[in-house]
Amino acid sequence: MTLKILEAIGLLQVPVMWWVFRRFFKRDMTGEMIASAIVGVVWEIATEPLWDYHFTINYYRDAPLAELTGWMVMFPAVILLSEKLYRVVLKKDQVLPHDKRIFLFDVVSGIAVCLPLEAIGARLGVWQYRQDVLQWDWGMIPLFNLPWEVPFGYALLLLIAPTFIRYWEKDFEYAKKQR
Amino acid sequence: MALIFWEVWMYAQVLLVWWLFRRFARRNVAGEMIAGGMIGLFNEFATEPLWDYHLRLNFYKDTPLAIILAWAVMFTLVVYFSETLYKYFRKKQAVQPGDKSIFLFDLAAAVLVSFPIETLGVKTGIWTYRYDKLNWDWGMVPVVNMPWEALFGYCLFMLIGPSFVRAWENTFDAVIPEAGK
Repeated sequence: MTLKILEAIGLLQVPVMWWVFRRFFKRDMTGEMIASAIVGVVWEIATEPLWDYHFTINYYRDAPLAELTGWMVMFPAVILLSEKLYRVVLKKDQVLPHDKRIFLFDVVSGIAVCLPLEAIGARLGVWQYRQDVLQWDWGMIPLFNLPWEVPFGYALLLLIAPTFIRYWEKDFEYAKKQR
Repeated sequence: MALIFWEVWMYAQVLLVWWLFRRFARRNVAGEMIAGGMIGLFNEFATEPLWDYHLRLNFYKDTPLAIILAWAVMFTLVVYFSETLYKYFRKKQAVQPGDKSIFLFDLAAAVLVSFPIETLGVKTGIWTYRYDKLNWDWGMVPVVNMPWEALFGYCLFMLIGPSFVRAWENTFDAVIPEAGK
């Protein structure tokens, strides 16, 4: 029953968060969400053998649609936090083009946003790590009780993904406005 | 012995490809290579359990340093090939910002550049697929006898990777300044 509720929340979070961002941050998230979905599909198909999911509506083997919608919300949240931190810490009005320091803020924000969500998802049984396949051996993070490989993997993913999303978000939104 | 030759080649090709681009295409590809290497690092760490490598100098479990350099070269070639096709078929001088048709050319580059390199890597025994973990079942691509999933995976990966390279190549080029472009 818990998993059914979580799956429903997972599917509903995209329209809800799209509205929340629009209402409270005056930000159209369509482009970010489309770009995030592309990254999410690539990631989930590439790493499918490494985890077992336990939802019911799946798009590739046991990779669930609700996980994809999770990426569609998580990446924009990371980018929002990263750019906020960037502006506050560096005292800038906006992210400067080609400023490599944004990598640092993406990674820090990514871990701050993703690690708690990862811990919740794993704890509630949404997915399980295939430790027999992964053979992770760096030990566990105190408090979170997650393998150290998880934040390291997120750090690497978040070096790449936010750039793709920033690169295409405006153009994906423009396509929507043209329709 | 053959694997030692391939490992040495994978290191040497970085300098060779960089020089060839500078000499014949008047293009500094240092930025492409750094960005491509970053994507390769991410991909290799994330998918390490799914392949076995057979080279000597490794940086994480059995993942060789040379494979990161191979990603650096592959992304450089993919971006160059894709943009050359784009400019030819779209009759443009450069890739137009925001033109989503570039995805199509990146996919073409995945099929025509990445997949042959992947095939070469498998056939020479540089790496082997862990079929026991992958559970791939789509069958094999005729002639080259490679799994369809490998081709599909490259098509997906090249939806993302080249955009990252294009976003950062000019910024990273500063590592080797005044080298063209």
